[in-house]
Amino acid sequence: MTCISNANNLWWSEVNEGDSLPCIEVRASATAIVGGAIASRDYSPLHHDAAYATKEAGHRDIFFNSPTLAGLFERYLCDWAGPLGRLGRMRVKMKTPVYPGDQFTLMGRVKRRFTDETDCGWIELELQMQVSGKTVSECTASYALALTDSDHPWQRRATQWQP
Amino acid sequence: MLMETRSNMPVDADLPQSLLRMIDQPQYLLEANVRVERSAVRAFAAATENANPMYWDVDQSIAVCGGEPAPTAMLSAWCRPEPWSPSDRQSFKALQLHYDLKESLGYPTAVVVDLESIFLEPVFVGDQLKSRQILRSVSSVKDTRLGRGRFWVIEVEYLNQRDQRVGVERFSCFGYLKGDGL
Repeated sequence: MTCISNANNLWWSEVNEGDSLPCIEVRASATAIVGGAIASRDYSPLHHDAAYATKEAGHRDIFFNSPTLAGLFERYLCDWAGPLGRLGRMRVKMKTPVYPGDQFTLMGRVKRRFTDETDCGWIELELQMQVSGKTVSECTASYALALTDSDHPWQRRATQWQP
Repeated sequence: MLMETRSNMPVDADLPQSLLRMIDQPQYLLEANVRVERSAVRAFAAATENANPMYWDVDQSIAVCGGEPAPTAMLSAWCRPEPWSPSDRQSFKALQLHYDLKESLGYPTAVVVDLESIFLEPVFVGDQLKSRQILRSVSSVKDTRLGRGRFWVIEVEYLNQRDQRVGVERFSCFGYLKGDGL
């Protein structure tokens, strides 16, 4: 188990506008699609019933639901910045469904870095999910990173957290 | 004619009074019938291959966060009803205001064109959430590639058992009549 205090956490001051995030590649499986949908209590047959998805809805197969897509972007940010990073805002646009067997790539870049009036350190990011070089989903996110050892985003509450 | 609301969003003042009265008024309070569960958090983390120790190591997550946080992407999950229950008491849909607007404005078709989520107080395992829907704005009539209609913004607010806001989902929608030559 990774120890949070020893994990590779990225500090706000280490990030620069224009930075590219390392890409990661993941293969979508039917198990992950169904697991994500049911864990997020989304019982639409589009996400677990291949016969319905293909014959009734005209899709190639079942596909990721919106919360799981958002969760994949959230995981990507955590992989990049470590567990002390905290998501404040997210906008996800699904352009094309991701089906079982699709190999997708997550990529992103830092658009802006700033601190707010509470001295919380924010990073604005533009993220993409691609399959075979085609963008299937886009995401913009506001992500808070630790400024110091003693002040990290997860300790912030109420007026000290203004995403 | 446009007027401004409490949320500083423009609203077409020529709308029916019944609709204008809905602006900024919370409606459709829905209390979740389950608490935020560790098993669901781990199933979701597994589906997304999320190795964040906050979701896998109880002691560390409590030490760092003061509780076991749920992934932010699960915000809307906790207020979703089961697909079946012996007492189907819920008489409205998850985004009922959207359907109300479609009907009262006479638009047979409406689509969500944008969704932004804002994450406020953390959601912890054991929390019991509730949601409410708030109409924030309705535009004047616009012509688009889809047809002639109006844009509206609905926010779904999520609160915990202490009535702290844990998140907001902001849906931008467009209801329209399909038309020729638009």
